[in-house]
Amino acid sequence: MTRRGTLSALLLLGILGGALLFLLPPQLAMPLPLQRVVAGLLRLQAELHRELGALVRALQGEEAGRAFLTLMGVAFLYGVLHAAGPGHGKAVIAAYLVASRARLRRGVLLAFLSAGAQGITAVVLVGALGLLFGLQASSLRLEQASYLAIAGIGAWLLLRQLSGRGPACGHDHGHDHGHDHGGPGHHHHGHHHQGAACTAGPPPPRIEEGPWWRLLPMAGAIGLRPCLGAVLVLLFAVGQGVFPAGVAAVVAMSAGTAITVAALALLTVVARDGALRLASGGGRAGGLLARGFGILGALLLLLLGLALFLGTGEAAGPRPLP
Amino acid sequence: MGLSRRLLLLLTSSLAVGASPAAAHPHVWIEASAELRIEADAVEAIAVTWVFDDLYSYAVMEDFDLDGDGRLDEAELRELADVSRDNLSHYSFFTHLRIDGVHRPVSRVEDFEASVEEERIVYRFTVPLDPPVPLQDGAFAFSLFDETYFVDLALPDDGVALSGEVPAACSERRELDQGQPLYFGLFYPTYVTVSCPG
Repeated sequence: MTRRGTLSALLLLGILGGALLFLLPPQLAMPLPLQRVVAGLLRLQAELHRELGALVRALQGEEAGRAFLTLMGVAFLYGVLHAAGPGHGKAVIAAYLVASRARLRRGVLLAFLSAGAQGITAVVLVGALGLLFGLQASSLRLEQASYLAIAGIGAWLLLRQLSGRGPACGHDHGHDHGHDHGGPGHHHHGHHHQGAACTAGPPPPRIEEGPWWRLLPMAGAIGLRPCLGAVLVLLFAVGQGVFPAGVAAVVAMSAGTAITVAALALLTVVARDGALRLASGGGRAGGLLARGFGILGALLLLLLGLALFLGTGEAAGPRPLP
Repeated sequence: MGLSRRLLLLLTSSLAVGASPAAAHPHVWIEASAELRIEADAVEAIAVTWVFDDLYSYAVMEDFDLDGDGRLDEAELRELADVSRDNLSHYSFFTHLRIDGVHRPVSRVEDFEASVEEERIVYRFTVPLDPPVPLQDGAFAFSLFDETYFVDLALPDDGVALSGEVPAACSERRELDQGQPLYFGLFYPTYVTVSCPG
């Protein structure tokens, strides 16, 4: 039990706790320094948001080229900051990474794929679905589909865990050897094909992850929910007669969002592996912990998806809107 | 073009309080100002003004331009004001009073009006204080915020004005209210206390 291992375990608990905030009413107060940072970031975000509007307007002016370049930069930064607060997409990614024990590279890729999917959803919503079926109806359906898909993936992972085919049990590989070996923290060269590896024996091996497109269901599930920030930028661009520039701005925003989410993914993977390594000295305990993570992460996905889906039902109720 | 028909509903469909914090970070920004109307050393009303950000303003204009003539006429603005007033009544009109240390929600406002000024949506309404709150002992404080934090309200340093029979020595103090953590405890709302001793 090293200090680093303990820190990792605490960090992981923190991340999962952060994810769980979404299931609880917010009553806790964070430490004051953190609050100051958040307040500063929010002020900056407000500034950038103001700039977005001004720059889209300026696209029809004389310095359109320069306005466009600045717009890309501002949209990117806005994306970075916009994703910096608590958000369900980040909670889902953290839970998925804990459950699936995907590698660092996969975690980062998942962040980029989901951000990209969300950008695409916004463009398709404003450019097509909204025109055909109405913005509100399409948006609500997409959102509900997203939450159900998240819950579905959680349920599927949970089933695999419980039936002993989860990543912690050393079953799930054998297909894609030769992928990503030697990645950071990849210590376990001998793979464990015995089914009992879940609860006993040396720490469980990493799963083989297969081709990258296996991430697509998770990324798609997250990305189905349209980002309101992107939708507003697109609508504004349509209004100013510069839809293509709006699409470009959404691409830049998505890239910014991806950066932030990737940072969280990175943190999650590092903390998870640190915590597993902490327990790996303990033989049986390591296997149990790995399996516990798998079940916890999957359960969290299932609960998040369901809670968010049920939340959409309240759309019929009063709304906070100005 | 009917593109954003009833966008207001889209904006809020994901946002039932507490149930679905999916869009918790702010998506709408308001620059606010408040005028305290004073009579006989007591506040009898707060006149609140909100100026919305460009993007949201555009979406709303698009949404409520029912005849599609590219502008909001009298009737369309009335409709917007009515819809918004009803919505906001569930959220204390983002106006939170603290009188003698006790939080009081705002359930009723007067003269709710919407207008368009320099291509931005502007709301004005008056919060009556009945009975009026004396200003002598710093008993009166208020804050402008959306507890769901979907909307970010900024009240600039010079955003609070006093009108009517203003006593000679009035002072304004701002401080965080630590009893009301917001946005997953990431910050506290700032309350403005106005007191006029003597």
